[in-house]
Amino acid sequence: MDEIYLDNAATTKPLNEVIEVMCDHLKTNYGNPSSLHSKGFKAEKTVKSARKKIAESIQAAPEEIFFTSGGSESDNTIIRGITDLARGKDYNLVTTVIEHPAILEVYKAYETKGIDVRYLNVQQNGQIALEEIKQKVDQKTLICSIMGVNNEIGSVNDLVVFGKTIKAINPHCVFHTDYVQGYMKIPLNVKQAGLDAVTICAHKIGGPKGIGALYIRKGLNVNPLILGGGQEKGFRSGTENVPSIVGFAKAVEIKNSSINDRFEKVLKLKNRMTVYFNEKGQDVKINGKDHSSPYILSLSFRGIKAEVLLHALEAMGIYVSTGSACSSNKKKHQYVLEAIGLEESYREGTIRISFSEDNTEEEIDQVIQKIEETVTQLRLLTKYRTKEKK
Amino acid sequence: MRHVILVRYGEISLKGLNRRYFIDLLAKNIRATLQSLESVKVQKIQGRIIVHISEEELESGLEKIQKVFGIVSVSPAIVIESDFSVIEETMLEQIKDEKFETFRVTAKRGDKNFPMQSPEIGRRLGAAVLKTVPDIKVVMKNPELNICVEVREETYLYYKAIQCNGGLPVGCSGKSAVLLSGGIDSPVATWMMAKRGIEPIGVHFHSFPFTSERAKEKVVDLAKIVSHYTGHFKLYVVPFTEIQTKIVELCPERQTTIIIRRYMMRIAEAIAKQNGALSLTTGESLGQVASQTQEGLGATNDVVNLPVFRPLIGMDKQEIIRIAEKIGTFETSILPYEDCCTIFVPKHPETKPKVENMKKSEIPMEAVVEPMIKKAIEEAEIYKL
Repeated sequence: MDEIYLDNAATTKPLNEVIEVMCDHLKTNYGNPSSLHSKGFKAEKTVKSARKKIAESIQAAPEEIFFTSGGSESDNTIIRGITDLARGKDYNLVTTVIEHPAILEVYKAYETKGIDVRYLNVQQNGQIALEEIKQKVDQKTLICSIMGVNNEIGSVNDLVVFGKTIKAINPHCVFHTDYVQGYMKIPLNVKQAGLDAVTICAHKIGGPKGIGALYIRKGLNVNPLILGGGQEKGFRSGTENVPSIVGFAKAVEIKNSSINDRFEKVLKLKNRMTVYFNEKGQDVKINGKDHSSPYILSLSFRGIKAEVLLHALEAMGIYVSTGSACSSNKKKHQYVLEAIGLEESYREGTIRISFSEDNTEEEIDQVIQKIEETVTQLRLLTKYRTKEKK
Repeated sequence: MRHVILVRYGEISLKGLNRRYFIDLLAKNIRATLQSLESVKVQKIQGRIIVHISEEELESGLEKIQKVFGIVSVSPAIVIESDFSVIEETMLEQIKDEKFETFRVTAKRGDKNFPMQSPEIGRRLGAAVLKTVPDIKVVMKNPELNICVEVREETYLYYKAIQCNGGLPVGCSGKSAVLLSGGIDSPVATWMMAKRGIEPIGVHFHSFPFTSERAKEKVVDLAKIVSHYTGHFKLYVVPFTEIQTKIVELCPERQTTIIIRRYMMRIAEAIAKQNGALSLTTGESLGQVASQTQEGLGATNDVVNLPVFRPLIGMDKQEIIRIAEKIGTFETSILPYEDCCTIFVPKHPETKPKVENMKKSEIPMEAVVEPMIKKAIEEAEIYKL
């Protein structure tokens, strides 16, 4: 049975070139960049060139890129690293209600400590309204985290407009974005968006798991989360994960040259699916319809348990996700769908299909057909009667 | 100086002429439980089982052996030469790090060639302890430290008795097919039957895609935990989707839960018979859910001939959870994967099903279900844990 992998927002299949270059470095370039001898020096040079490549991909300088273990660490580092430097309590923190748990949980932790944390609400399409920012960000806002692309429904925020608005209200407010689902998919110029910090990671773009980076604007003072041997200019201690860093850079090198082509290709795939369910689907909703990433499609089927649909598709070699992978086995974690005002009967029937440029139109047609068949069958079984006719 | 574990069995020594059979079985179960340890030798002596074990493996051996049913208590002991000065010296060395204010010495002389009688051994060793350790006194009842000395050909010295679960050696009561759902109750029910000497044959119903691979893995993990008590565990994972969806398709919605259970019981009975099991065991507790009313239990009982044991029938959920925590299944049981009990639950399930109505409702199934049951049993995955 051929497999059709449509869970690329959870993680991607590593690129062959990435695997090869990582194996090479594991075998031969195993030195510790901190070692004084030539093996260490060689590893250091490798990391340096990788850092440059990644910096260039977002129009940043190499010294503005810090390697971490991934998206969650980058998010934790920037929020804690800014907040923990603040004196007194006369400040506030701002984020959105639909962030990834790696951000939301950190802010919630500060909230329980009595700090003023403000949450930006989303509109039905999953975007933040500019008005929300104007209302909640003020002179005393220390940091504001707004995700670039939502991981569950794919809604895209206009970071350039947001950045300008935030800086106009408070030029000292640190503007941070979790760009894990947007990186190498939708171009981002960090300078243009006035971003002070950006979270990215490798395994969503064909790179290895366990490696990510945090862009920190030059001159911004951030408290390190992990102390120790002083690697990454004292900002993130721990021996550099050289093979993964190399793999990360390789993935960026390959993906960076094809952002627009891939965007067009994936958009066609997504449109093929949305057009079908728009026209023919019964009791199905497409979440975050406008202004969403072509890489993510969130579909809600009324009267269906998403988990059952997922397993039924899995039996046919089709891999999708319910909600987001990180929180999908916690049933009550449907806050994104709740935030966009989706009724419960649709929420529990929500699957996320996330594309890659390797998917084909034939695959999409096959998946549409299988979803349609399975949904009909399951509804028959649970004696569900369609209530809305489109 | 060698290390041993002294094993005491209570109830099974009362079993008259079958006594030897029980003790042999217990020794065999102990050997099976400790088979991963290299140094272990199991020896049967009068009224006891002695497990010879190296110092390095002692701790792990003690932990494992406590789970063997049929054992009342175990004591880690050291074996030394039956020479009074050696005994005295070793004893003082052994207790020097113990904190206690009251103690006694319990001496037993099995070797009548030893020059002192039991009371004298006790007195002299007690005196030695009093002389060495300050601020302590001797009490005969409930001392904090009971130093036990058994003088036989060699001398056993110990001062700890670890209470175990008692019960009967697994296997002495035959086999029972246990319906395992993956919840909290059924592993506890299995454990309780195993405690009475039952060798469980697990039967789990897998309804992919309505239950996931992870839910199946969870049941396998639970069976593995219970197998630490039962020695081994044969688990059938029966593919049930076809039958379940047929029931949902053909039978009245309110009755599906009970009818599904009736077919599970039928299949479990067939597997029981294949394996020479003489009963079925379930984790049902009266009134816990809609299908576990007297009427509900009656309706599921109706389809089988073998006796159905329900060791949890009179227990509250909290009592069941306490045992689950004690035997180590609770954490695994509460992992949040869908299982066959939580999906397809009708909005208003029948709580007082009548057997006659069930039979009537099952009529449309009769034409199709037999080959389905046969296929499900044939295609069951069998795990030997």
